[in-house]
Amino acid sequence: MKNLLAFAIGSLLRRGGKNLFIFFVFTLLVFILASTFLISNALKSQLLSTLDALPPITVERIVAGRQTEIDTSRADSIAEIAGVSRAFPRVWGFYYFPPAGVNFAVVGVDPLLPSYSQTLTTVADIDGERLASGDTMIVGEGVDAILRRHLFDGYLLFVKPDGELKRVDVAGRFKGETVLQSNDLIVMDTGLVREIFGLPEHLATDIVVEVPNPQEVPTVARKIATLYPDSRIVTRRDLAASYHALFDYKSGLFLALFLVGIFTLFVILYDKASGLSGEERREIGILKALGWRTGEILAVKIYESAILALVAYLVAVTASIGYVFGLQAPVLRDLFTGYSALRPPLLLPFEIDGATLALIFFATVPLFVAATLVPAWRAATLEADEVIR
Amino acid sequence: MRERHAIEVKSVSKIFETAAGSVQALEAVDLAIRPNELVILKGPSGSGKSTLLSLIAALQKPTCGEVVVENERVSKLPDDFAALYRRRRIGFIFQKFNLIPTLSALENVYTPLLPERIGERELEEKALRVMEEFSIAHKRDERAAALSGGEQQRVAIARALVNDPPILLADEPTANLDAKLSREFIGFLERIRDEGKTIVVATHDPLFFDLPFVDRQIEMHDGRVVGTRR
Amino acid sequence: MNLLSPGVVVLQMLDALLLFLASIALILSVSIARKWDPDATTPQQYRLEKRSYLVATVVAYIFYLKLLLFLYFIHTLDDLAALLPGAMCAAGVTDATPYGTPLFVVKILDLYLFGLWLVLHRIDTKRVDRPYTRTKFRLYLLLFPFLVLETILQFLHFGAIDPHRIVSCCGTLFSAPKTPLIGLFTTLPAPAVAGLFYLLYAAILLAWLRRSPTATAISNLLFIPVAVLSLITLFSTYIYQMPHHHCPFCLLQADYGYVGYLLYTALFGGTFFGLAAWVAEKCGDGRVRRWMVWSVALDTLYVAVVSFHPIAYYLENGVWL
Repeated sequence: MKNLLAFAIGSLLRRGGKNLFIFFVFTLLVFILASTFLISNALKSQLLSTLDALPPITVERIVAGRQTEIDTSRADSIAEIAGVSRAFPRVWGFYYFPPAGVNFAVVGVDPLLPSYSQTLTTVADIDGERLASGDTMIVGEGVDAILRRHLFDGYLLFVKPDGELKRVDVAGRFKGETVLQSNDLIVMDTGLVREIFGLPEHLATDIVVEVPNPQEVPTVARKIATLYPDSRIVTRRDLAASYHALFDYKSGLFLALFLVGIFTLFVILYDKASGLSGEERREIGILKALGWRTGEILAVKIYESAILALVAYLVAVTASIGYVFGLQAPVLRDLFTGYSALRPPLLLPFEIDGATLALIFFATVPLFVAATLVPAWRAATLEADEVIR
Repeated sequence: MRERHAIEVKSVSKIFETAAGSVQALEAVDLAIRPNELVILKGPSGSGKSTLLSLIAALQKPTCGEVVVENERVSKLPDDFAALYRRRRIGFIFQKFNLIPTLSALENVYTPLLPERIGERELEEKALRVMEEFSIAHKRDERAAALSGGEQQRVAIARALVNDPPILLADEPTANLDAKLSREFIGFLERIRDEGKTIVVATHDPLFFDLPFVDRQIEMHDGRVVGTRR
Repeated sequence: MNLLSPGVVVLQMLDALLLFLASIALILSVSIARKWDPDATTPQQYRLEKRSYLVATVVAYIFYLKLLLFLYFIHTLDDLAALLPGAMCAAGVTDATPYGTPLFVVKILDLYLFGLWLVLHRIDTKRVDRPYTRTKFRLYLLLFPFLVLETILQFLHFGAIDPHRIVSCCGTLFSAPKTPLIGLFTTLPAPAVAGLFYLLYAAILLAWLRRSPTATAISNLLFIPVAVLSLITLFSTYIYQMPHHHCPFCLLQADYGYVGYLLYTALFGGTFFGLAAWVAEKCGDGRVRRWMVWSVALDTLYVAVVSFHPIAYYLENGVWL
């Protein structure tokens, strides 16, 4: 068997020209598929990693099918539920900025809380003086860029619900590596946010619930639902599942379409492989005359296509890794990240897992080999007598 | 006392179906060849010599009759076993040499042995040993297509002998050679014969007739045996 | 199909491909089974001879691909667990529909069936007179419906998975089984389960020492369900070191050193060769002894690895779970 394998490799190299075209096309297809999956996976894992920072449970109030403000007193009742370590209200929202036609996410924090001030300095470059001197905010890179583009240099005039203006100065910018979360983000004092959105003291946007033991999350969620039937409870797991489902759906759809395309390739491949050149026929005839069995010739032919497919797969995957993580996937990447108006300069983290490689393998190589089975058989069952004449 | 025959052809007929109708290549041919005999099959082209050789090599099956080689009914062997029989017990020299042009001389020589479970080194050794016997070992790495006619002939002979077969068949081996190379080939033949092999040569080259070391000449015409000479 | 996860798409696509190829083989097998005549020298017989190569190639392709795919199948199920509420591993996903467990059983059965067909094919082609060719292709006609069944079950299973329905996790699945037979097994006390398991293993050893392929086959055949059930009810708890964790899928995860792969490969290999040896004996093939040795070796490997864990636990803790 080893000899036959070596013969198959030699055979491929000898007949390079004919196989080159197929090899190139197949490699290209696998490359596209691999790149798509690598990019998608990288984005997905980035997104999922942001989940870790999210609270286990978020409680919103729903009226007439839409989210509305929630009573801050509910936080106290929720905190009483067994398993809940903390429950506190959050104030945040979206501020529409007409000159650029985009929404900024405005989040209120209580900067006096020690946990916040510490973490804040690790994720943002803060001008300490400015921060202390009144109405200030910390903004993400995307916000900063837009403000400057519209000639707001270092501050923004918010338009309050009553029409009055409120000036808030930029006292810090979020660091580059947080860009996925912070790009369109503005962080400021909770009181300020309330002022800008006109939200009274006893109301909040939603309530965050901390549950240290993840096993208890479903139970707590149920209890909150019983306590406040008009609330919508979003758990971290729900979010993870919805991200999974979204990515899976998109990638699954892409894959299904891709497979239709690859099927066409294989019809072509089948056709091409079926046509043997005169020289190939002679060679098979000679081999048979020399005493090679049909099974052995068949084995060589199948080895040929298996090796071709495997090498193409390896080349394509390697090239794809270089393209996606080395070059950061120019062109292809934009197809994926076009869903937000503010486009953060994402860094695709280097992540490959065996499952993705296996997926790409199974989606391509077996089809290739299958397409060559019947042609290989036809070749191997040729009659040898032409050779003798 | 019946002598043991190396090759027995018993009432063999072969009919080909072509687009133009049936062609009877062989008709009721009977033949018995003893071990270590050197037999010449002589006759014009179309007389069925090549077909007879291919039947002995189990490359084809007779329409009726049977071919027995070393007490085995090779005409009845299924394809797989016929192939095994061929590569282990037959050495065949083709009219057009039929080397694989893109392989090197060495690779051509050990091709018959490739499917056997033999390691690469042993393959090369066996091949080189035969190639040295015929003074062609120095061309081992050259592509077969680049060899001269005489060199190709020697590679073809080496290939036919690499598996040390008891039986050697040659189909018009000198048809594409000049007189000098033809005489060289005959010299090789004598040498091989002295090694104890049974040899059958199909040819209409007069150089083969009346050779002293030929045991028998069998004349064929239109698919039948028409004469024998010792 | 409300489930368009890429793993599922690939599995379904390959299943369709395999079914397509198998159907070609089926059509060819019918003509071969009917008209095969090894003594004939007609062009028709030559055509049949050529076709038998194609069928064998297709079956070999299907078998080897299925072997590879099986692992990927389990992995995909595991992945889907993230989508289904309540499921923590492949066990929950399997149980999400009534088709899941039968699908598993048929998949594994198909591996055995196709593999053994290839064994028969090997034996047949080694003989000049090809005595089993007709039988071989008749048997293929019996094999084909199982592949169809598997494809249908898989299609139904993936089609019926509902991401909105809560699914049991393996913790509950394997503690409170639904069929009375398995229930009987899980309510047996640990020593009884262990006893039955080792008894069968002893039978395998005895069969080997007695050089009886029939006994080997029977004991291996019985060993399959007993080994699986004992793994679920008893040995897995020692691998997990938790008295109520019975899941056969979690063994495949990194946390346990991927020991599941070793176990299942050894179990499949050992039992497969045990059955192959019986086939070889029925056909008078010389490889009986060799395959019996492989069977015993792999079975022993399985028993050793699976026994290691409770013994190690006992030595470490002085008590059983």
